[in-house]
Amino acid sequence: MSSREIRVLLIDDEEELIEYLSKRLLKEGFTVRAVTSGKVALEAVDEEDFDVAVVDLKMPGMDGIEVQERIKQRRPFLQTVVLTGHGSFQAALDSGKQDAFRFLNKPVDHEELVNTLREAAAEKSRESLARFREETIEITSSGGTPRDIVQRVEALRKKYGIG
Amino acid sequence: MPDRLITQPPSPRGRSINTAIVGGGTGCESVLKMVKDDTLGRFRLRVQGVADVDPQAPGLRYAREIGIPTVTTDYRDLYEIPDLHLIIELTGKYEVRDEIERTRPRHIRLIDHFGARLLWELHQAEEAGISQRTEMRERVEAERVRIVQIFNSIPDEILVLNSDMVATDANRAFLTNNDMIIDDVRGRHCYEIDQRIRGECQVAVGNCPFFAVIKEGQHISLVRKHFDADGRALYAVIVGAPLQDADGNVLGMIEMTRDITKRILLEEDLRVTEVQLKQFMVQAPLATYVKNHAGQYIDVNPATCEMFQKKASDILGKTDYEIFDREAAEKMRGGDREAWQERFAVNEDVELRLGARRVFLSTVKFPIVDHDGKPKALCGLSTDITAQKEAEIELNKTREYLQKILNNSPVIIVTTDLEGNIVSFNRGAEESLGYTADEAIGKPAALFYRDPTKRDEFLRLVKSGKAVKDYSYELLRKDGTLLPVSITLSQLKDAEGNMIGTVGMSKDISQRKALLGQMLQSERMAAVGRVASGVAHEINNPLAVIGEIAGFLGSLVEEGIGESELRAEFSKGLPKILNQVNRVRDITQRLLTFARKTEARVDVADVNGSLDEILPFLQKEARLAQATIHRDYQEDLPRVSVEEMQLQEVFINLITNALHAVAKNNGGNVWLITRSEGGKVVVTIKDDGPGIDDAVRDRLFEPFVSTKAVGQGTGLGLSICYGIVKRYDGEIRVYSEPGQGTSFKVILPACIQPNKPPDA
Repeated sequence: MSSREIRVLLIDDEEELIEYLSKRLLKEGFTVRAVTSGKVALEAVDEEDFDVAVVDLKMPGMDGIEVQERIKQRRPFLQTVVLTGHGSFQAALDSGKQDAFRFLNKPVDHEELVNTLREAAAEKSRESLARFREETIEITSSGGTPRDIVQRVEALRKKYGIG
Repeated sequence: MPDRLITQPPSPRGRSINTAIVGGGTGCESVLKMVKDDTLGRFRLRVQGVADVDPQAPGLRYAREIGIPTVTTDYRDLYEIPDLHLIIELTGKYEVRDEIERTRPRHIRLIDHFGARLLWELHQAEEAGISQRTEMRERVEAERVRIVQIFNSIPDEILVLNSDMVATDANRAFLTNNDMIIDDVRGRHCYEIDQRIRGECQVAVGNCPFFAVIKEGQHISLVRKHFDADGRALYAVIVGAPLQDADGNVLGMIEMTRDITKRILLEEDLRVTEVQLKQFMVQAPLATYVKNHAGQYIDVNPATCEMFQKKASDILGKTDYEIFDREAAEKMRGGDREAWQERFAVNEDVELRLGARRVFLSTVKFPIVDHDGKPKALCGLSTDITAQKEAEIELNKTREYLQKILNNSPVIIVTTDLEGNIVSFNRGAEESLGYTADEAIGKPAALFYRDPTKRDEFLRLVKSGKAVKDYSYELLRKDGTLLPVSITLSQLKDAEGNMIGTVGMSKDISQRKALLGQMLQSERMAAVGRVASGVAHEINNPLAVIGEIAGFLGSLVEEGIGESELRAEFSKGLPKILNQVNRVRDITQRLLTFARKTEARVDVADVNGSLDEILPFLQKEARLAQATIHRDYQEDLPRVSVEEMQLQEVFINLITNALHAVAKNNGGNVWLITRSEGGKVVVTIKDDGPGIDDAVRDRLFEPFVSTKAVGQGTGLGLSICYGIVKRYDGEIRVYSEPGQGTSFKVILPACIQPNKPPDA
């Protein structure tokens, strides 16, 4: 999967940071949307399909752990990468409980971030493809009409973003 | 003719018979010898000649020796002997006999060898009779002498009376005691003699009890009291016995008198003593009793009854076995036996049960001896010493208890006299200071003070009535090192409350100090860590912004945007900004790392000790989990090169996990097992909780894996344990099956080079 096809959601209350981070990622070819609060981030997740969400832990209002939790409820395959200036082990542990893909410290080495995003996206498509296959098998073995099956598989394709 | 034959006096029934013997054999010799020795008794033979053809025949030879004429040619020559009455033929030959018969003159009679033989036998029989009679006579005489000796040797006075009560004899004792000679006695009536000895006989003749002896052959004995010249009472036993002949006819009486005055007086004395003794026993406050050889009580006083809580009738005739418990009875019997054997007083302490009460008796036992010195009974005097004994036991207990405290206390406990010289030095002191008690006792306590004058200062304080309490100080060990202690010093007083010295207790606070240091260190670290963490966070965000902007600008420059002069400056400056960002980032990362952990340090840890040190912190957790922690340590376990605090962090995690697992089962067991196996130290932490399923087990050491509910985690996961153990070249393994409990094995290299750092 090329960077161009990777959709990244940046969530951080530090506006200047996400502004420049977005610019750099865009230049790398990622599709990027940046938001400054958990609330907006969830709206974005509802509206669009992202591959990776980069989440800051310490944010006013909804914190990073909760954002992760809610994202996972909506989009189980969306991978989250925690990016924090607070090197707390407890935070890392809590993120881990929300099935974070990786835990990165600010300021992050740009190359490391880019690689992480690619790996996370690959994980997402692997997980969703696996799930898609499982469900496809379920559908094809459920005994519906061929047209019904085709329709349902198409819906599934859309759901898991498989072209 | 020999003289001897001539001098024989003529005997009535005969004169001597003039005889000649024909045949000079051994028979002849015997006859001649008897004639010569005059042992023929009534026979009066005069042998006037002997004939034999053999001149060497023994009879012939003997005849020649003693001067009797002999004939060896013709025996008929013997017929010529004048007045020969008799020829004795001893040849044993019939033809000789017959020839003599034919040829002898008629006045000469013949006794042939048959007749001679018969006479010989008769003579022998007579001989035997004579010697027997002689022997009998001698024996009777000896017997008579002996009886007289006995009669005279009897110490009792004996008077022999005939049937008319007239004295016929008296023994030596009678005569000597009564100063008489036999003629004063013999032929006199008994009352006459009596009168002379004892004054008028008190008994009318007809009523004399001794008539019964004479008349009816009875034995009679009576005691007679009379008074001597000085008016002192004298007592005698008089025994009368009949004197009978072989047919049982009474011939008289033997009267035997024995003076028993001494015995009577002694008995009276004894009676008095006995009464006094009885009174003593009854009134004595001591339990006093008498036992016989069989151990039966034969006399007990009221105090005994009171002590034994029994009636006299329940004690008398019984042994200790019937009265007391077996153990007590055995011991009392032992005391009895000793007293019997030793024949002097023995002491005995016995513990016994009387009703519901335990009683201690202290008893003195001694044998009562008869006049021969033979023990005939055993007397015992018992006192109840229960109260005393109990107090003693209590005192001993207290003393032992105190001694144990003194000995087992790890605290240094030292007592001194008033001069400050050591009197006692407990084990805690020995172990802490390195001196043995023997070395320390007698030395001044100031020896152990870093500054000996300090001890004097303390002593002055204590003497003035003040105490030194929990004073932090340092004592000098034998090896010269200093031991930080907390000293408490106070007066040592005797029973009257006078000060006799000091008692000092010093607690080793080196551990406490070290621990305090560690705590301070870790608290300080934690505080620094918190600050560092906050600072880092505050710096990291703006730093991230700077980094991103610089990065973005850098990428713009790379794409060729901007004036050429500016571009050159940007190309130079922007990477520098990025470098500085990275530099600051490294610093903040290090700060954060530092905040999480204190600096990694290697020391040599004792695994068993480390486990034991953390157990107190887990007690509460264990109680909540209703878990029992079992320790199974190998002694002499090698040490490991691991920072002790990190090692303990691992153990705390694993034990806490085990306790949580056990809590899920509402209780159970946790085992801590340490072993040395092939150069490794293996610590197993095992529980009998619900176990872990395969899926979780395989990922157990990955970060963020937990089987615990949210909020229950300690915040220190197994991954940390894994990290720590790995850092020290160790391994951590898990064995678990659902329902089978879980065990974690921490395997660490045993310490060989204690100072080798881990993979730093």
